[in-house]
Amino acid sequence: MIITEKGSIKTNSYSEIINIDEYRKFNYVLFTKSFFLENITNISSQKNNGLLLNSDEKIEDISKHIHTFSLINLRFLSFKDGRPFSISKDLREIFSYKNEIRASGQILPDQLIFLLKCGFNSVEIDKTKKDTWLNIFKNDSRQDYQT
Amino acid sequence: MYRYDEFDNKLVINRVKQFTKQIKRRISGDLTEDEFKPLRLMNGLYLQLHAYMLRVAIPYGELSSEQLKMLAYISKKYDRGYGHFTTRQNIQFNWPKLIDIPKILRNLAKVEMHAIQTSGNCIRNVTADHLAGLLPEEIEDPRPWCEIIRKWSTFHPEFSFLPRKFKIAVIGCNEDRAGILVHDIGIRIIKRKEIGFQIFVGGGQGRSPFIAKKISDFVSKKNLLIYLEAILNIYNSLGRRDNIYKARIKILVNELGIEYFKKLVEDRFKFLKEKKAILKGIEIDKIKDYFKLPSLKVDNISPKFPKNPNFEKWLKFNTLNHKIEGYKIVLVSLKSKDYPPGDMDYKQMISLAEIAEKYSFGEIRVTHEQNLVLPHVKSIELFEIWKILDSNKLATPNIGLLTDSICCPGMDYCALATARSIPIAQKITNFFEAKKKQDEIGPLKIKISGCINACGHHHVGNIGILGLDKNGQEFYQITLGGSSKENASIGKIIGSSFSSSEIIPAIDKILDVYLEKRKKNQTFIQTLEQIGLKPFQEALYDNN
Repeated sequence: MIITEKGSIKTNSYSEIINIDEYRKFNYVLFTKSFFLENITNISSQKNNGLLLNSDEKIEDISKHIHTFSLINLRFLSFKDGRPFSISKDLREIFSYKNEIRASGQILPDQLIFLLKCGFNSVEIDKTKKDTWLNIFKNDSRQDYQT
Repeated sequence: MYRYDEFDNKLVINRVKQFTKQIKRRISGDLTEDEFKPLRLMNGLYLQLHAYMLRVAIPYGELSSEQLKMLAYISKKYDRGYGHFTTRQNIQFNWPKLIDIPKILRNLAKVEMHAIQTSGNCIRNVTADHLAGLLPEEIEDPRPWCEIIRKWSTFHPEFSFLPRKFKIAVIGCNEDRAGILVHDIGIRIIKRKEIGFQIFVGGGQGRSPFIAKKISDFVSKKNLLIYLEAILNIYNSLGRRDNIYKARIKILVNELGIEYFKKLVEDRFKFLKEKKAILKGIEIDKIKDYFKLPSLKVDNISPKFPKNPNFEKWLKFNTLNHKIEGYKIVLVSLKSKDYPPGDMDYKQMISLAEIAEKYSFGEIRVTHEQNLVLPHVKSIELFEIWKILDSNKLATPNIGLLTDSICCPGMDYCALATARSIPIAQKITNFFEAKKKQDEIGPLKIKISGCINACGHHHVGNIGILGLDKNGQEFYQITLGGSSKENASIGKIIGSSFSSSEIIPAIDKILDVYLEKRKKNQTFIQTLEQIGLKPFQEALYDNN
């Protein structure tokens, strides 16, 4: 389940795959950086290719390929690990990445507004916490000094 | 001084509402303590040894009478009648209840105060020289720059979950009273063709002390925030997250080397400069308007005072010349023998707020050394003010002397401490006040920490004292030669540590060596540089 930047709840259409057979089965696929580098010749531009990047991984070494991805999913290893905030800003500001950026992993609903401000479009959420996420989306202030 | 506009007000009130909800979620169990922790920390709320501790921000140490009165009210109503001023110009309350926190925050918001970003792994309260705007030699007042940085760093979406806390200090004079070289970023206002900033990075104390290194010799005013963003971006991306003790920027700068770190920052800066909005002169001027001097005029610039040796001593140690003739800067010592260093009870707060209202344009400052300042006092009114301060135990004439020590809360309050520090500070005060030796010694900085995290800044004390635990006994290690001034240095360990009963005689011996060996007007550091550690070691350890 995901919450979008518009505050709607949707099902996650991407399937996380681990091998090339699985890759061939789905239209919306999510794979790691190492899968991508190993199977780069088999990646089909007909599919919706999502890259899964853990918060301790770098984007720079595959930056020339980022426009291949319809989605970049930045996975927080811990909610205290703030690196994805900078990765997302770098994707937007340095690499001019225009497609979807999604947050997943260990994230607190209280981080939602910061995520949206750093260029994220959606967040994977735990469905039992749906109401908390929606509540924060509706009620938390978006005012800031930076914009 | 700075006043909130409607936007600032809204922002703070929204944060109070948000945190009130988060506290409710914590109490209901919707948030675990682990999840609640970073949220409460971003609102200045710590869990200490015995209770919660709330740290309230005093941006660049500037307080109004109204605000100090509110702090008095909170101390009395929600705490045990006192507050503790910190080395980063904030105030801490040591005994609030979780359930009262929303009420405290609402009260603070009424006087334009909050506890935002006084803890947590974010950009903390920006500190400044406590004499900002008051001295003739100042290049430019650092407070507007602190306010500009405060705004930029508040709720920064990218930099609210850094590897570790991040502290910035700004000064506008050559003399450093804010310890910029022991900050994550130190900023010095300098004049070249135009006025701009020298930037230092990677200073800090704690377990691994480092003096900050210069990363830029000149950053222009319009580019200051972009340069800071470049540093923070590199730190957020590359700072270590595998070990809390290696997560500060000082470790990253040290591991990469300043040259490589600088290259990363400069590359980033060049890139951001093209994309980001620069600071406009009109915005800077708008902020500067808040910090104009009040209109200061006096008729009698050289008043005659009644003969009183206590007053004269106070006048000598606790007042400074103001840039406007006929005015003085009064330093209010929070280092009396009756209170722990930096502590102030609510009655003292009310009295001082009233004094400031009547004699100092309603302004009070908090110093990095845990004292307070009345910034604009007419010379002619000094005797009157001294009498009131004295009757409130606020006129201890010891500013800059050895009993004006910096001290952390230590094991009396802190869960991390390995030894008590407040009783050592009090023993030093009692011992040396009784011996009347401190006047003869003159300016000297003793700094005391209750554990290796160094909140009492022992690394940069001329004499540093570090409390240790040795098999359940409190022991104290002495370092000599530290300084947080413009000649910043880390003190050197003199030898094996002393028990709590041995520590005061040991300090006394060190001071005897200094008095015996110093040449005319030599500071402690100068004498130490000249004679080295050996004479001190001989005096301390020869009989063993």
